[in-house]
Amino acid sequence: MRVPVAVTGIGIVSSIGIGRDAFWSALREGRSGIAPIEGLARASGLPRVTAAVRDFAAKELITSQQFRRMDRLSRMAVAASRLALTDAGIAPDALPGERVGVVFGTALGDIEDSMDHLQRIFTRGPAAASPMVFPNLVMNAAAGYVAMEFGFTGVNLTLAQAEVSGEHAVAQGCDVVRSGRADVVLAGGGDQVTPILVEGYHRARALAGQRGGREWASPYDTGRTGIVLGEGTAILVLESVARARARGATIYATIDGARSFSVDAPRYDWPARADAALPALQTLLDGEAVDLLVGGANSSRRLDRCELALFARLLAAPAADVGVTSIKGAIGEFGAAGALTVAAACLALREQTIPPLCNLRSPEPDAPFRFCAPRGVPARLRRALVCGLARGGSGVALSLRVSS
Amino acid sequence: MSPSLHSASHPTHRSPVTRVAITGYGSINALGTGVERFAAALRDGRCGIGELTLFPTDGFRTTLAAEVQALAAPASVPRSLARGAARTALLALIAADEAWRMASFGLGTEVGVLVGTTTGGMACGEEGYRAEFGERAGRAALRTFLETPVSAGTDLVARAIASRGPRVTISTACSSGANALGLGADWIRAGRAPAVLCGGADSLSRMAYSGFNSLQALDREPCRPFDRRRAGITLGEGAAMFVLEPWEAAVRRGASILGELVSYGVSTDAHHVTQPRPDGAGAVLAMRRALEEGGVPPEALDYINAHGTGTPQNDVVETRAIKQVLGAHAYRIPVSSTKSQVGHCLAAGGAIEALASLLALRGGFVPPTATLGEPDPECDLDYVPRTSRPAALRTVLSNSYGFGGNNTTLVLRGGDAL
Repeated sequence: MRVPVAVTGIGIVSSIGIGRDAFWSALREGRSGIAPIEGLARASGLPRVTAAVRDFAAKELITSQQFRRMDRLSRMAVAASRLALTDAGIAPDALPGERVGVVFGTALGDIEDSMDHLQRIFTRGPAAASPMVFPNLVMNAAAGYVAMEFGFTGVNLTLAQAEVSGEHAVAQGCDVVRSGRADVVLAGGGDQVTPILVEGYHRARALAGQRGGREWASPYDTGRTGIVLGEGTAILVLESVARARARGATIYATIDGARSFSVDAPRYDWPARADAALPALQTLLDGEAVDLLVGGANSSRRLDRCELALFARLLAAPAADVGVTSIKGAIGEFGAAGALTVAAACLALREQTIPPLCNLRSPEPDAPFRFCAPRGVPARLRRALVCGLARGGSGVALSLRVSS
Repeated sequence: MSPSLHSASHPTHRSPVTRVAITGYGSINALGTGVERFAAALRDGRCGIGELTLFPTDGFRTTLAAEVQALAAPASVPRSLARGAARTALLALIAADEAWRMASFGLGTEVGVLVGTTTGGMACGEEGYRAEFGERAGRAALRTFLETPVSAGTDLVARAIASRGPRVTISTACSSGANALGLGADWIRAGRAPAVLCGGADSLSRMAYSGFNSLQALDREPCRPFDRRRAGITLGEGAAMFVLEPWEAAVRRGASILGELVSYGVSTDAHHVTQPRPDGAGAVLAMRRALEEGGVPPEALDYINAHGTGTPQNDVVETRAIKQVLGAHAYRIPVSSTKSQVGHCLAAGGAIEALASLLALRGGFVPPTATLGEPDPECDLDYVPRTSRPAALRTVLSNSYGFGGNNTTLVLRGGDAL
């Protein structure tokens, strides 16, 4: 049963721009949000770049009295939600609150407050814990604040599945629309980058430049050395195609299917091979052609190779016309980056442009795809597949079509 | 805008034919390991609340918790899986192991896995964090860092049954476990998997204990839901996991059907990150949605397993909400809080309480609010004080409400209604 769900609004808070327009312009032009880490003392060997969100005027986008309580991730989520609703041409007050759903994906939630809380209790004792900080530690704080900002009292779900948190949330959001439990769903996700996270990935030897070579992210490039951490939030407005058409909404793309699956992988690393995902992906493609594959390639040696092998096996015939891309060179890697990836895929279909790969100099050979760099390339795109894989082996894929 | 209070009526598009059968369950909490121990303790009205021993209690307002004693994986759980697992993940694994063996489903390849949790690897993350502050850093901290994501338990359970099916972690605070069950039922109805292994798990941690302590939400006495003197929660830990299948398929393969997950309803208070809406509108909406989706009139309910945390606010608001939904029927049926026996297990709570409800249906008894001593005039329903009582139950409701305002209600069927 492939009931398509329409994407009618996109709200973004990212390291390459705030809002759908700025995000797409930057993507299309091949701009990257990777930059030196501000304010972090350069201990020897530690990475020096992330794709961080610059300060943005959250106060202009958030009206809730809870603003001062909100952690930075929640502010990104609420801001992106407002941007998405505005982009969709929906006035929040015009919706019956109980008929709006929120599905948010985040791998690590509010790290800053978690670390603050732990620091207090371990260095100053349990009595130093703050009742203002602690409630933000629940993973669903961001989704809760979104509900409070707009008075949305319907379905409210938070999913946390490592590097596929964003894809899961969008897929689940589509299910909520199809179930009839909500008329409009805000679906997406976000994650933060913080010094302790950088430290942790550094210890795992996952970061670009740790073993020499380039310190920036270059997905699918033969010279890639590792990942660069980033942060951001994307919220998509989802509704039925009928409802979108009835109110004359712009439909960026429709999502007509999704699959969640798993492949064998080490507990703490990406899979080496993802052939076990083929049945799920083939079912999703359903024998029809695809013009664009938007992967999760993040410039790690392992994931990018795994993905290219999977995509090559997936497509029956040589695929020189099929675009393959990833936006992690622009936005970095973080748990809910998949939400921004889905947004990028929607925009690619709307704008009929293949988003470019950042920092691509020498694409992997034996990868018979169309890699675009340094800028986006106009192309006839009817159908796109978004595919994400997480450390530990879970995966999600979504099928998107251009809106007719 | 003010959240709407209107009815939950709306068209639902779920498959009209698929009933969801429960074919296996597993349990671990302060009352012991295994479903049978839990059932016996529920019937006996035993309270699992005692002194917290997992970490020092200096500086806390209370020293009480419902702690799992001598946590150890049974022989049926492969050591390679249990070794190095964070406490929450281990609890999930133990409960999942029991449920999976009970269901005797066969190959886990296509089975879906959903786990509701808030702490995930947090206890491990804490050790790693302490290591940052002047103790040993290095490889030990790396492992703990990697175990910190909340999805660690889900990945571990999936690995235990060699699942390549859909997998996700739900983290909606104290309603997570209930949401995992609801979402698992949706997956069954949508045909996403031939079976799902789902539930909730959470462990005691300094992070949560100190946090609730800072909110002055911990009672110095064992929690006393609906009692006039109630003063807060008692934290607990544990896990409950279930195997769900399409009814017809379960019957065809000769599975024992232990209960039915009829429906669920969700809503959001959109009010405050920790305080419930005083008028109970969110709780009302979740209950009404669950009943409507299940086609269950309120008068058909035999028992309600309340969220019943023992905080002054929750118990009176929940009582208000129950009366709004059930009308006069609220006074005719028992309503109890099993948190009086296993404490508030955060994300695991909704799953543990669903299990308690199923065991009550199976065993023909109503679990008590074991610590209820003095009635509160504002809470005037039948909360089954102190001792359980026999009752032929067929259709029950279980409520779970979480920080962030997430409300989830489950409708479960069992007893001679199967």
